[in-house]
Amino acid sequence: MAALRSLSWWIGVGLGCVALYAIVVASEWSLGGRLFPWFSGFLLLAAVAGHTVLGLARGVETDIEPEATDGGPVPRAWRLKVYGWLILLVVLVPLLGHLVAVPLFVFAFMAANGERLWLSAALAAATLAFLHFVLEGIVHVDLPRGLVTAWLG
Amino acid sequence: MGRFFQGGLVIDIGAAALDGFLLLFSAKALLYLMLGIFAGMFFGLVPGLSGLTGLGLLLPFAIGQPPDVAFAFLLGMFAVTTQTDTIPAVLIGVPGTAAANATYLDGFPMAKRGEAGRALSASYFANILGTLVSTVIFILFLPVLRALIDEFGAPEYFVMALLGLVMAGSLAGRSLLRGLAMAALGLLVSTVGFAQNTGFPRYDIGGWTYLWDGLPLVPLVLGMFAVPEVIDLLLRRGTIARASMRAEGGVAAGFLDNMRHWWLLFRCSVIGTVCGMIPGLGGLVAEWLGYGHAVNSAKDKSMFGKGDVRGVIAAESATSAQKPGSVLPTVAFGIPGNAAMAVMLGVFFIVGLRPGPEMMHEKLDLTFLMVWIVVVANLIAAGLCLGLQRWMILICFIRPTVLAPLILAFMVVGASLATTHVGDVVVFAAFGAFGYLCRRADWPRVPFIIGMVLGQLAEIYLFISVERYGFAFTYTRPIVILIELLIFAALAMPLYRRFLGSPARFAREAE
Repeated sequence: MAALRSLSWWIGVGLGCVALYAIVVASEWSLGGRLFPWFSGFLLLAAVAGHTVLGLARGVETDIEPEATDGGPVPRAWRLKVYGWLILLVVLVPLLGHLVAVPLFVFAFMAANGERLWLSAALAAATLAFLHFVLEGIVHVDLPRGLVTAWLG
Repeated sequence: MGRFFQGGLVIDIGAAALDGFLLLFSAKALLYLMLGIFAGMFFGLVPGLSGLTGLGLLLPFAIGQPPDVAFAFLLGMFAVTTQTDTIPAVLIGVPGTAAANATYLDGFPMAKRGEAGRALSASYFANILGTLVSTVIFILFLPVLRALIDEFGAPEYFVMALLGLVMAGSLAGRSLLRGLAMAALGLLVSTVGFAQNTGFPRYDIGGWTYLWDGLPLVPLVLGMFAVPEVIDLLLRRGTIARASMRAEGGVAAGFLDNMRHWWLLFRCSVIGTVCGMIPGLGGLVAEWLGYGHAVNSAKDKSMFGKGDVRGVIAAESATSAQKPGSVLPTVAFGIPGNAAMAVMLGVFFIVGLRPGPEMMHEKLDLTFLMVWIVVVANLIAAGLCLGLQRWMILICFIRPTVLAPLILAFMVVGASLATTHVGDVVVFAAFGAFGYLCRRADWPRVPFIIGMVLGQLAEIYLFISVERYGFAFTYTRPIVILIELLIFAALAMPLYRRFLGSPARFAREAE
């Protein structure tokens, strides 16, 4: 069935599960607490149920094609690499804290993707300076330190 | 009706308009406005980024500021993205944001003919004049809305919120069911945290205290809207621009073009204003409807798509006019006209403002301030663009491998400024992934954010309505019944839209 191979259809199914979870959890609350969650949960369930059933019966509109470059579709390896960098960033930040992880990411990403080392280092240093002097020093933002940094003291 | 024209009312509105204008000229508001304008010009210029990305990035820096400063910063940024997005569309043939696609159809051929300066100038003046026409419509509508809003109680506000959601769901995107589902998901997400009426924590995933205050707006907006755009920017890999046309002179010619086609400009500005008022439409639809109207109403259609300045004027005036237009339903009913206004509504709650009668009476100066910001920002941006456009285009030559990591870095930092809790990064990452999937699979994200922000208001209004009137409020109050009929009409809108034809049809006709 074409719908089973469609990302759009599966998103609908996933949202249906979210709606069911929300409705079941809310059933234990008082009327004041569950009134609105039930209202929005049942609305969501009705909409995704319609989407899912219609998708099975008539098929789902084609998902948007992957972004194209001048040389054709985006190569799979490059796509995975981009996702990998993003995952690395969101993992590094809680571990090392913003002050270390963010400039490190800027440097590593640029250097690994063919930018000159001096430019990568300069922009990483500028990022560090912004975080430390502007955000922490002037705006007095207390940026989270990160698990490893806190453990090291 | 007689009360609309009483002298007191005119003085009241006039004084609020003046107060709002003066609020903009405090040193701090002006400074933030200029910062916002520069940021907005950047986000409009770089193809792949948009005003929403900018809004998400600047949002953390606006929180904690007084309302006038926060509005000057954020609205000033958002207002000018549609000024600078024309520059790459005309000079290198790549629209800066999706809202410049129609401008590109005629602007780029004009540039190839050696009329880039004229095309850009026509676009800047169309932006300014479109904004001014929309402001006049705003002022004319105000007394009517003020009278209407005084008749509203909690049940009316609740069904108005539903109307806004249904309109956003049915108009944003191609599928009604997906739009409605995303709007409902937004409502559901808004219920995370302490219930306002019971004080009981909801959906806190096993007692995670971070969620007790609800999901913070900043990491969520950044994730849903900015992450997918930056991923696209990275996937594109190479430099966006290779060669640029020259844009010199043509300032007076562009202005005269606007004067010559003033009637077209006016009609397209009205179209844009109406698009701004209807949740879910926004700049993209306004632009194509304006362009389509110019093509359909022209006697000589032969030059459209080959460099007709009327195409530039129509598209740009409609796009710019939708911004002041979207302010009105946001402040009057709490129904944001587009995703940016949904974010602004979130800022309302953060700075302690509530849309409704307060913004139409006691805080009318703040309402006017929002409109003046759009007008003044457009004026300043147009002046800057005219003087600096030949250098500004160089930004489009920066490689994504330099731009994207910096933007990503600031996005992560910005997301964490909401509560400086590590949970912000988790929310940012989770909604970033979800936003990217939605973009790939064509699930509209605008109804989600509108639902999430509107949910905070809708829940209170629903609770008060049920407590006070029971469910009988749905069929005993005339205004409620009228709005319910409008909701049914909005549900039927997708069919009507199919009858009208899609924006793509206008593009094909023009080509």
